[in-house]
Amino acid sequence: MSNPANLLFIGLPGSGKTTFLAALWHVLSDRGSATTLKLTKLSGDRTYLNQITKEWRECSQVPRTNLQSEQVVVLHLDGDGFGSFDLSIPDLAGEAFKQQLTDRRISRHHDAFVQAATGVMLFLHPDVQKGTQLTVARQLEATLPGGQEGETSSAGAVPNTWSPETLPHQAKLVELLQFLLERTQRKLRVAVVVSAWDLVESLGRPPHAFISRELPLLQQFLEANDDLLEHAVFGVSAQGGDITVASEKQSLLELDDALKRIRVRQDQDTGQDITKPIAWLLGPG
Amino acid sequence: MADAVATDPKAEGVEPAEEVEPEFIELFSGAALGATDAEVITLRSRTHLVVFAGAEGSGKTTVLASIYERLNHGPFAGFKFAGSRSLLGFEEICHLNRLASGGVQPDTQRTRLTEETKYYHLALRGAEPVAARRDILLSAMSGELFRMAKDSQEDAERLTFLRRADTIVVLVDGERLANTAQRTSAQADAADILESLLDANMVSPSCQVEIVFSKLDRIAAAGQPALDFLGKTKEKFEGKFRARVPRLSFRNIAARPAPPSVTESSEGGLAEAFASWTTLPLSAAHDEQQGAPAPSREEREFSKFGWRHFERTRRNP
Repeated sequence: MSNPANLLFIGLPGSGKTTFLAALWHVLSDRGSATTLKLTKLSGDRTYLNQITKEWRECSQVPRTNLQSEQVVVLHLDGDGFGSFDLSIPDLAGEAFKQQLTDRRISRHHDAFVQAATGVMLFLHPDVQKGTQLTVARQLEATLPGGQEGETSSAGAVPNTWSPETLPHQAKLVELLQFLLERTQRKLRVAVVVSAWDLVESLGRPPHAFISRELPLLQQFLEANDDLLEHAVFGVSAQGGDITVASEKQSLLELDDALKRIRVRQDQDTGQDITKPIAWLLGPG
Repeated sequence: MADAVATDPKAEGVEPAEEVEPEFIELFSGAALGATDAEVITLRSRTHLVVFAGAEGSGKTTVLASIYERLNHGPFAGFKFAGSRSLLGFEEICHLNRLASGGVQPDTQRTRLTEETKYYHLALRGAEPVAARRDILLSAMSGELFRMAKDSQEDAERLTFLRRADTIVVLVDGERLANTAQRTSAQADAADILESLLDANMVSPSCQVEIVFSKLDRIAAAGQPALDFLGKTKEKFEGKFRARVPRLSFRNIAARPAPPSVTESSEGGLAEAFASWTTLPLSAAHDEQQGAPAPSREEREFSKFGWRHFERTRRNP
């Protein structure tokens, strides 16, 4: 009998959870690349997986999960040192996490997934809303050639009313992790996945350095709670490029093997093993 | 609603239905804390309470917001950010200094006198790997509240929790101090606030009181006469309060300095100030290692959440 394992995917809308799942299913069912974890047999009901993976294979936007279309997928996996196990992954809507932040409550249905989670994958898109401070913006302005050193005219500028929706990304993600700590009673592993890694790959920084630079509050939170959260950061390009740009999409479609679209980076290592973050989450301590 | 149940024939004689579990589980609010929730935080460990007092516009909330803003950029004053029960509260007071606010000039939401005193929580951890977590509560209070406390029992009761303050920072508005027409008033306002604090029994013998001259960049920009007046103000406070406040100190800061006065190496002295405000007196070092009783079952849901989380986070790494 296989051991059960449960992963929890956390992330705001558009952070790449479903696209990751679609690419994962393609890789596993293709069985053509060397992955740490392999499929032992096909899942029972594959309707949802096939539906999202079809979009991925056609380099189309994988539809976002909404609150009505949430599904739990079960993968039968095996790997050296892992044995056989059934991996359950609920594909939860990013909207649900957004609602947790504004409504300050979690559904019992989602809480059950939190309680059962063996590991957590925290997804974020690299196009983060940084919450730039006016003080910093003005300091930058002052250092630019022709920058104003005097008073900037504020005539006509009426500040917006604050609401939780305006939270910078890093504050939102810290808050989601705080909810997680609130609801669980054990140490958790968290794989932070910077999705659409191809968008920032050219900067040459490893994923953890990206987090450190772009989301320093999140980075500190992860490090300062290392007794409660063991973490690793991965950059994952599941689509392989920007599919909204026609030429890029065409290049991706013309690849002789769709497996080549996938890139996974951890520290200095880049490969095509999309199961790597999952293997890290479920691997030995 | 009660009438509807009573007249419903189906409800008559029917066994009480099993209590249905609510579909949702409440999470902590994340807003700035009231005294009750702030007190719960103090139950779990030796929490350091820093109170900022000052006249309107002296920069109390700006200093408080700036501490969180600095943490948004990375470790600050030797601490890493380990969490906050009032993240939304911090974000709200920082809003007017965000591009997303649509504003042009950095600003801070003012403390409203009529509201319940708000507390802002930070869990911090020293940068060194073996450092333990520290819980810090920050609060900004108008000087007017202390004055009112002298005359009203109700207002005095609002200060009860604040009497636990480990550090009181009395802010003197540097901008007013740099203005010859306003500087004497600014000096007198700050002295009056400290006087009121002492009258309200807010200053325990172990309480650190720091007179902080804010907006240092404005004083420096006003030239030598303003700096001389700053020196004289310190002397005046020293003479007037030293005997009654054993742990009295002075500091100049610019929490949110204006661009022309900022260089990369200058951060306005806030980090050094924050490290000083949160330094535990030696006598408290022992207390920090001690446990504290769990809150009663009657505590609010947040309190229970908080306790559960804190119970686990108490474990040193």
